[in-house]
Amino acid sequence: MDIYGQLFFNGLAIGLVYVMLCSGMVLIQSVNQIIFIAFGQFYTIGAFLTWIGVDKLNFPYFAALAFGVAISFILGALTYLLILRHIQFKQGKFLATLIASTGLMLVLQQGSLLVFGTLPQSIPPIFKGTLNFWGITANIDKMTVIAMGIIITLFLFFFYEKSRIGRGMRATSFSPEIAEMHGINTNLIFLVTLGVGTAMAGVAGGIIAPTYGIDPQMGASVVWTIMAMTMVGGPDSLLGALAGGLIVGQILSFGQFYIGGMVQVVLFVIIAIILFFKPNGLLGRGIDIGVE
Amino acid sequence: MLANKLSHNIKTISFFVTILILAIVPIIVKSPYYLDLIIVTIVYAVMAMTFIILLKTGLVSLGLAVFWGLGAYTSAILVMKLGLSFWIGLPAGAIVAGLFAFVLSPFLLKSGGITFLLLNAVLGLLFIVIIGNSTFLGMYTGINNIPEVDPIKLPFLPVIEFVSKIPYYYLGLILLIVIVLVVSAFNATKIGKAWTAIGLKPRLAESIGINVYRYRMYAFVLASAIAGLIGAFWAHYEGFIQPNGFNMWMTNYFQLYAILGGIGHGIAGPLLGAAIMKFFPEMIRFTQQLGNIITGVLLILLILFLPRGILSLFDKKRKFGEGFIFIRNWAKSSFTINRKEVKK
Amino acid sequence: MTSQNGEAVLEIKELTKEFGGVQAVNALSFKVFKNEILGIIGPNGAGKTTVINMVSGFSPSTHGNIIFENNNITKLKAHQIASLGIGRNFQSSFLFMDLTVIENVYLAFHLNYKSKIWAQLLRLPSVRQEENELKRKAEVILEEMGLSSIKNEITRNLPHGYQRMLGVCIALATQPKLLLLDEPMTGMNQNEIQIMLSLVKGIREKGITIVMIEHNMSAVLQLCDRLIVLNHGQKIAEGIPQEIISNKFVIEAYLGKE
Repeated sequence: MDIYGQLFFNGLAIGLVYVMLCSGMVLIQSVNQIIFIAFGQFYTIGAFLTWIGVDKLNFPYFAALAFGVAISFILGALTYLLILRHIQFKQGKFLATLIASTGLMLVLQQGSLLVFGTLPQSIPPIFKGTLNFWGITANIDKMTVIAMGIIITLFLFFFYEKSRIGRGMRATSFSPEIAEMHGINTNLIFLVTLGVGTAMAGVAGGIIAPTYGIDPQMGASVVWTIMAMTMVGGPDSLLGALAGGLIVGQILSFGQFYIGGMVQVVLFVIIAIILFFKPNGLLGRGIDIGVE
Repeated sequence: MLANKLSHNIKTISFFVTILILAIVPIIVKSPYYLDLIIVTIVYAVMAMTFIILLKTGLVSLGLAVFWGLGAYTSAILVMKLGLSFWIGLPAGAIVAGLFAFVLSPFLLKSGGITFLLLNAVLGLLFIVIIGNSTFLGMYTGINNIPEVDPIKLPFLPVIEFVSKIPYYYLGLILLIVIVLVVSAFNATKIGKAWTAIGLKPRLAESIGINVYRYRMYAFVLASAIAGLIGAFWAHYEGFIQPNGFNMWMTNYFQLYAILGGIGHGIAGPLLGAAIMKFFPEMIRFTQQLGNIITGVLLILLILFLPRGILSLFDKKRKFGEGFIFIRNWAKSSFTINRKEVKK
Repeated sequence: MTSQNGEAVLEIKELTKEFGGVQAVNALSFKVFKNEILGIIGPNGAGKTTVINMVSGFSPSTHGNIIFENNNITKLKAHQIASLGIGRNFQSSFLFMDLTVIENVYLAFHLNYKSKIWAQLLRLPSVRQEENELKRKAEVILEEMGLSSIKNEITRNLPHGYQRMLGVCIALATQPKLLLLDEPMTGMNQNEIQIMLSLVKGIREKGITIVMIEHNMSAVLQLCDRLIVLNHGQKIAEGIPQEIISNKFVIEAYLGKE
């Protein structure tokens, strides 16, 4: 068995999940210009909702996945309507958003423990079996993750570049004032972006659920890596999210194998060093979240 | 700042009154349960104060608990493994925490606010992981049986032994007083004025010759040293410490106490916030789980409707209730999706 | 009223600012002589504020050098440049809005606060003395700028004209040798402009060198000893005001933009 190929393949699966997560985060950061630390919770919620769909509501997997995504989107939109929209233009928006996100993170974290229980769960794999090629034992499951990850990411990129709303998002991320002058309803854009962002987290959770299981802490433990990677890739760069996510996947895959649990530490140290030299990230222009 | 001698005097008077009241409490209240609540409130209020020190310079830290933990572990290790007295461990906790902050400053501060936030959070995670994997530091189960504070032997007085809660209570109170005095002293200096300027408009501060990075570093080191100091006290008061007791949720709680009580009123805000959050659940016996949700909901409600904390309701500058953003406006503007002005 | 005695206080050499493929400032070179009032004019977007941002350290330059009193300050940080003696105001009202007028100026004396930290922490009488001294100096500046009457007003509540004047006061409090003024008269009514005119003259009389960006042509003609005209980031003319206004390139630049 070719160990490098195997690790690379696993890393690809993990990487694509991170790509989806980082893309959602980047979207929110560049359009809404906020640091949304409650983001990780939608990953957990999406995963659990998919599980509920399959396990309790007897939906077929893809329906359950859609269910999870839809609710993640709605929750994100509600978050914007009820909370974020009121604080995003005021003085001190950085602190206000941070406090609100922290509060939301606490509520969602504890809430999902109460609603979904404290135990890890799992969903039966959709396709069973493995394929053997190029010396790799490839779980079809992981291949599904990879395939779905690619499809969803492509869909998002396409949506962002080509669709009307996507153009609105890009204009708003460049300058909300100018976007308004061109007749774009920035309020609606902020709303949709937050929803799409959280939906990306939700879909990532749902996609990874059959292969890697669902854990109540999954969102909390992954959010800092996402934040860090988006900073490194450039907080407003989708390309950065793509590259960053894939790289993280590989680092985690190879790192886990060679140095075990300390891989997290190493990863963060690397990130800290990169940010020290390039605080605006490697790609992208940096964002203005109201603090210096 | 300059003017408002009256408000400054009110602050000083109310501080002394508070201290006086707190000093008398143990004479009236004998129950160790309530004494414990007050001691914990004081510790949490100090931590909330460190949050405010950093906030004043435009820095938001998610890693406050790390320096708290550094102080706690430093003192515990020095006392238990090296046989030193607590009275060495206490300042050592402050010094080690402050030193860490100093050494980390170039990495954390140079790149601005978001990076500071992020890297502090990361620091918090690293702290727990590194200690958790270290046998010397007690791993995830932590260090137990931390000795009580060494007795104080002063001439002409009976030996003060730290057996009951009362000596700890007064020690905590004294630390509180010292910390508040030190912070006030700094606020009155050129450094404090620079902090004010940086907190209001960092670029303007730069244009008048203020080295924003350097003054932020001072604030960071001071706040961390204070956290370390109270952390050392905490370790010997509680008697046991474990890495998860110093995680980000704790930092979030400290933030909450600061915001709930109100910023800009010295120690009164943190004390109020910590007291409310400590005493309220005790009276209603919330479970741990609901506690987190309540904290979260409170944070959101506060930031939406009362962003400057409870004490802002009593601010001289505003009429009563002006700080309170009305629910009706919120509801009205929540559910409209229409074109709105985009302002900064 | 030219005061060119050959001594260049500030020298800009091939200064360039490039971002995103756009050259905001392109190989700009000029000198500023001691105690003169140099005006920088040009259509909007010509790069004038960018030049000031680079000289004052708020924007890093891509190429070129900035020499101030024989020191190369190109790579220095904003606060270092301020402490070397270059003061500036900002285009929009960039002030400590929640503080009073006098508090704003008082803070700006930060560089001049000489007491040692230990003395400050212990609040020794010498410290209090210095603070009173600085407070007095702040009041003097406000008096000279005619803002004494509003010294205890919260800055946020001031009308725009006064806010711009306060911005200049803050720059003055840093005791600069070179003062960079970015459109000090924009948004002011006729009265306020008159006040600002005499103020700028007064500042020059104290021996301070001034570089001023301004759109108000009458003010420019009254105040400036020399002018530099920028368009698209490049210097298209340099000389005394009388020559500049009849320079055909300058006229083209302005008219072409309409």
